Amino acid sequence: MPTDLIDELKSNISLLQNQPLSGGIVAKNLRISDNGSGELTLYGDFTITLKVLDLTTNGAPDLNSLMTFTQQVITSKLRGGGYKSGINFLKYNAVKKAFDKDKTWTYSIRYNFNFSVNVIQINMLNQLRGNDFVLAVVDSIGHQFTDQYGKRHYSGGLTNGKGGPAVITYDIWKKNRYLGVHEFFHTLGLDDIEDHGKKERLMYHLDDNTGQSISDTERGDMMHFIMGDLRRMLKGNYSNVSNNTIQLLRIFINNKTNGFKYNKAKFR
Amino acid sequence: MVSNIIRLSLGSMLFLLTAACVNKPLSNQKTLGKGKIVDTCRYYRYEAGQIISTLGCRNCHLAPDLELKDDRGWPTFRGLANMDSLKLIKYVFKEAHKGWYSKTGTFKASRMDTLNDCEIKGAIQYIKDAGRSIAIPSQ
Repeated sequence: MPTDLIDELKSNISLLQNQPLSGGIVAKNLRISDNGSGELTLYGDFTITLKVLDLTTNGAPDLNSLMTFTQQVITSKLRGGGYKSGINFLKYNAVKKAFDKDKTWTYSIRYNFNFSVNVIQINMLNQLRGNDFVLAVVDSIGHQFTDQYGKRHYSGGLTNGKGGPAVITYDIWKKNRYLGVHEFFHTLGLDDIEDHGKKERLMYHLDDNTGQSISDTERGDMMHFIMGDLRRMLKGNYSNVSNNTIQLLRIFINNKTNGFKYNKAKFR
Repeated sequence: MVSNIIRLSLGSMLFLLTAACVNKPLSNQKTLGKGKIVDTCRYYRYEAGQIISTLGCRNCHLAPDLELKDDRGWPTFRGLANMDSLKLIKYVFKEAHKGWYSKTGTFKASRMDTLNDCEIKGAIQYIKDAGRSIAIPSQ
């Protein structure tokens, strides 16, 4: 796959030149341990970077504090890795250190990953790379959604699908400090929860949360999203594929159905 | 000649009118009343996502990915989303996966064969939505 190949080459060249890798996900020291009884333990050191672009008209004086909080919560939620059973995949051959192309196996996977999370502010679009994660902060969002009970809500944040850019209203982020993490976890592959019986969960999105917990399944799903492909564990290191973040953000933020109000002069 | 054509036309019309009266269709009300089919299947994105997560579709159908197929020639998650729904049902739930998910296959313990129609519909919509770049809202 050309994009993968280019990303891998860039990643390897950067490593050889001993330059710090840039991008949403940068992984090093990846390896697999097989206990021989159907459990694989995956090891790796991951650096995750979320770039915050302030597009508010009157500035965002609390932005640094919100970014620090977001960084701390993301770090704490990802800490300890994850575990997921019932994973169907190709059979791993520990001697050859390869996945068999023809044989399959059902594994339990223990994600023993270390995370270093950066949440940094950027001022210009050219500070974004193709595979970065971005959170744009705006004045307001006109978009509304209907929940499963038929009630309409205004959106405090919007994420453009898994892996995509997110946009957040500054004033609502100030009121709900977890909103930045919530949006970023959409980027990392999690879905919203609307079940009134699960108000204690971070991904419950109907305003009256009673907590911010993440389930084991959600943690396992995020770990899998961050890893992307089990076969990458054999390569030692990788940087996530280019998602063309700048172009995605440009299209997303100019989509009138989303109703973003922001300082257009800052979007340059 | 002309009178023959007129006679034939009138005869055909009379036959059609008779057939229409004899085979009078049931009114819509009766048809609906008899069956009383109420579709209780509703799509909940979260529930559908849980099915996809449990099945582990993304272990092999990689996401996110801009390509439609990976280096093995397997469809990525975007590749699945790009398929026609009917093809997707056939591809995912009926014939594909080299028999791994059949009753005697390696993954026979998987829930794939036990999903009900509503769950399958939900899973299909979830996969299709992945290719539609739908904004995920939060309050």
